[in-house]
Amino acid sequence: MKRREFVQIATIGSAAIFQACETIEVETQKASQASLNSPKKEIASACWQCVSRCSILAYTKENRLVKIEGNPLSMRNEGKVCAKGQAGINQIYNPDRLLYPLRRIGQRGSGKWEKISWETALNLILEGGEIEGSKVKGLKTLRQEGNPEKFLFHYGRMVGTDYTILINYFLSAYGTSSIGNHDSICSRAGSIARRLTGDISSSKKFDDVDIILNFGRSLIDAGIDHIPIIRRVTKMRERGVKIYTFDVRLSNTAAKSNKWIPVKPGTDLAVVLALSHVLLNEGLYDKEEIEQTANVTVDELLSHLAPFSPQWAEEIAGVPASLIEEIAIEYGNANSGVCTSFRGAFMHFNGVQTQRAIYMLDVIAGNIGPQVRKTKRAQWNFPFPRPEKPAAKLPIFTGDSGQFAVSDGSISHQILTQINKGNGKPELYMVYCHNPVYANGNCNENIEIYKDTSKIPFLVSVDVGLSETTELADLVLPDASFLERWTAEAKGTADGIPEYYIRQPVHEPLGETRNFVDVACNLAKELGLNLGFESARDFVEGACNTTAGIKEAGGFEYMKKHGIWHDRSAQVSYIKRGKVKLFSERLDKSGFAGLPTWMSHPDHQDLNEDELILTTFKVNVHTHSRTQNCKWLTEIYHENPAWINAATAERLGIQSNDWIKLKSSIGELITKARITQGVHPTAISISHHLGHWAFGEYASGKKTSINLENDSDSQLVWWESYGMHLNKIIPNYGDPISGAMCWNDTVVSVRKIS
Amino acid sequence: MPKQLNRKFILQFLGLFASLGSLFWWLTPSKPKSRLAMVMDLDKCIGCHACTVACKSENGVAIGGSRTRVLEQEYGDYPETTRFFLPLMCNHCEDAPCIKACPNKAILRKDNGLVDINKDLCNGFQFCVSACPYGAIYINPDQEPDEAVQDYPSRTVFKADKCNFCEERLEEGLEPSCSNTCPADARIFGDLADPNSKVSKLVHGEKLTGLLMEEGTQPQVYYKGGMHSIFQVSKAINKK
Repeated sequence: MKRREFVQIATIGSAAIFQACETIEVETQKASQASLNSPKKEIASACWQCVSRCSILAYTKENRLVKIEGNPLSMRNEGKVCAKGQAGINQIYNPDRLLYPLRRIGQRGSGKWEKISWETALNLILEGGEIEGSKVKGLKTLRQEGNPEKFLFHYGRMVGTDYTILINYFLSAYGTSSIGNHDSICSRAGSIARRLTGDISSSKKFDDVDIILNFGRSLIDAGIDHIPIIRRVTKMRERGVKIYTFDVRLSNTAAKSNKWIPVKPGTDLAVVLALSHVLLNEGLYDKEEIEQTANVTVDELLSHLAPFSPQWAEEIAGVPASLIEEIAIEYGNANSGVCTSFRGAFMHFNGVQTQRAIYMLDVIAGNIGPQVRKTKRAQWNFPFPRPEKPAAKLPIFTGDSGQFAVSDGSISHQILTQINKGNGKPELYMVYCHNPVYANGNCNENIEIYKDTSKIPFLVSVDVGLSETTELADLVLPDASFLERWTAEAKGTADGIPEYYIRQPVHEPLGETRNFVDVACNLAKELGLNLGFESARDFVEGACNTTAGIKEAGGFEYMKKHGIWHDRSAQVSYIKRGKVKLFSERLDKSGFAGLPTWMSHPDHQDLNEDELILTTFKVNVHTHSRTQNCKWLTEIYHENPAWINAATAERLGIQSNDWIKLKSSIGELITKARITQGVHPTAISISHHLGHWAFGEYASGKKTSINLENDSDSQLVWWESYGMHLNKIIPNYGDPISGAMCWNDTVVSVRKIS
Repeated sequence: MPKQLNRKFILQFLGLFASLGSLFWWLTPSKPKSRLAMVMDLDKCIGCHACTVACKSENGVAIGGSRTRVLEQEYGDYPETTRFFLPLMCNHCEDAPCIKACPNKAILRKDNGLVDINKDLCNGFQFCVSACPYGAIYINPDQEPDEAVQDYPSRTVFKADKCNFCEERLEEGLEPSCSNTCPADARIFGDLADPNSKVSKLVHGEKLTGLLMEEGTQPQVYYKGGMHSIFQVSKAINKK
């Protein structure tokens, strides 16, 4: 019955394209069939399928991972773990898993590889060498030439001490600040809005309020703190908390809210301004409190918000004025309430002002309060001296000069276009834990730039499989999966209590894979840099043995056994903040409105009959780009048709399952229509996740050249569609203030094709 | 996926074997000490599929098979639209059509109320698959072919499989994998014979109902919240 748990990873067949491919045996995966009665081992670890990073218990039998459950000790996920987390098993034993270093044969993206040893691979990175006849420079040379910034490190969702070690220790010690992240395709507009408004958090948590106004946040579908948020929302709903969800699309969150209020894409801002307008007009505010909380007077707010009536907002956003009034009055009269928001509200042209307007609404409603503060984050102690942050940095992280008002930080989705424009040339471009080709907009342009060896002479990718980006690399390093590594993590509970936890391996990394953090420690040593520790495990051990509380509980040994430490009686600490900057001098000086005000998207005016606004969303069983190789998840979600409102579809003569063509300013794509009552009539909504063209058989329907041919499930796949990828027709633009990707603004013409 | 047998064809066999099956059932002595059941709280279910994957993983269910799944359905006209979720699994019926349908007596109801398939006796006739109105039984595509079946040399035998409340976990004192991980507390597992259990309180405390009650199967999976009536259940369960 449990036969499938023991699907063998026996040998790696040498595909014809390998020039020097020996058959290697994956040690932990010999053709043994573990008996049902073999003892189960429990390992407390941490998930990393999504950024929520829940605490897990991994169960192994005969050194093979058989089950993932939530760790009941966690105050965050309380013993629960989601579909994605449990499918972590599919990552580690993926038939398309990358198990040894590869060097490209032929052109970039040819799909032909030579298997090489780690020694050869590391030598190439350190000393440089030749890739298909072209000379490339290594880390040593770049440093000797005084150009350490020509080592560009571009990472995706990397967290915990993996981040600390690689960014704060390794790259700093090496001397480069040419570091790209994924901030601008994630939630940059929100974080910049928070920074401009004074880096505050609300004094109200939604665990103890009566009403929540949710703007475009898929709380229970794909929340940034997935399971912990679901736990909180579950308890909130038991308490009868009212939730109003403003969203373009009927998300599962909207379905479980007291009311779904559809909003025209990109117009949440109008609704939020009108809600504030009603609160002021109805006198539902405390003048003294507002003036103690924010850097504006009530008189200023009254005159600023006067034009933004509910009737005005109805014209723009399509939300009935009476409903805006009703909700505002209910919100204003509630004992306690709070607003929440995410990408749906702020990954737009006007996203920064939308998020700032949400802060304004909560200041007026008294939900931020004069004790302006921010919750203090949990902080590990790292007993290793940290190298100074280097100044050397390629000028490719801010978009074009003057393009964005706040361009500090990382405009990561424009790194490639900046390289293409010749604004900086990375001699060694390393991609880690990221798939920019697929995850950014304008995929075809990304591919062309990555293929250009004159702009990017040496492209290295560290990955667990041959993703769309990795398949273009010159050198590919096989990383340990998240279940085969050491990391120290810390996150806050719902009450703000710090929870410290570790990720420990369920077994040794498969095949020749290595935790890249350990590889970096090794590279540092070869470069003569003293980091103060030898490996990720060393670092985690040091943190556990010196962090107050954990040290007394038993340090590393305690953490290896339990996985988690927290002090339930801990007092939540806050950092005091100055007044909320509802008026932003910085924005005012940059030519934007100092007080959050209406900004209309120039492209969204006077749309043609066949034009709709393309918006995106995430579902509950996938992360953006990195879980589609998990068969259990792809079996559940493998088709992403375009959601079109029934009335719109009728106008356009489109019926359910019709093939339709979407055309944006940069390209076209063909997909199926899903006619629904659950999306705004001006929107066409398509989820992320699907339409991979690489990454393996479960992600794309195509086996990669390194497929192990060892998964009996691969014969049983019953679905034929792998969906499509909408980023191909979304340009890599940024909002004018923060430069964040405007995921939800692209105008497309839509027509039925026969 | 193996094709299911024609329903009419099955009904003929049902007639033959039903009497045998029910006779077996009525002869079962006295009241059971425990009666396992599950309550699905449809108000709480958020359709996250944590249960679906928990089950796959715990029970080694092959791609194409499922012991539990979650359906979703949109309801209402724009903008008064919502969406409902319906988790489905074996209902461990008191009057289980699958037991009656199996010519090999491979399916039995245990003392604790668990309806279980004895894999040693199953020879893959699939009568149970067609008999179950809930679509809860599937033929395991991953089963090793049973070469011992000499009578049907042309057939490869794949065996029936379905939810058994994670019996191995129950023996270890654990709850089923699905309810164990449900982040919305929508699946509540327990013993109806214990008046203090959460399921007892839920089942006896308010009017809960089962799916397709008109089938007379007396299902032991109870649904809280009336949303399931909105689903065209019998239609939906036959879909993938």
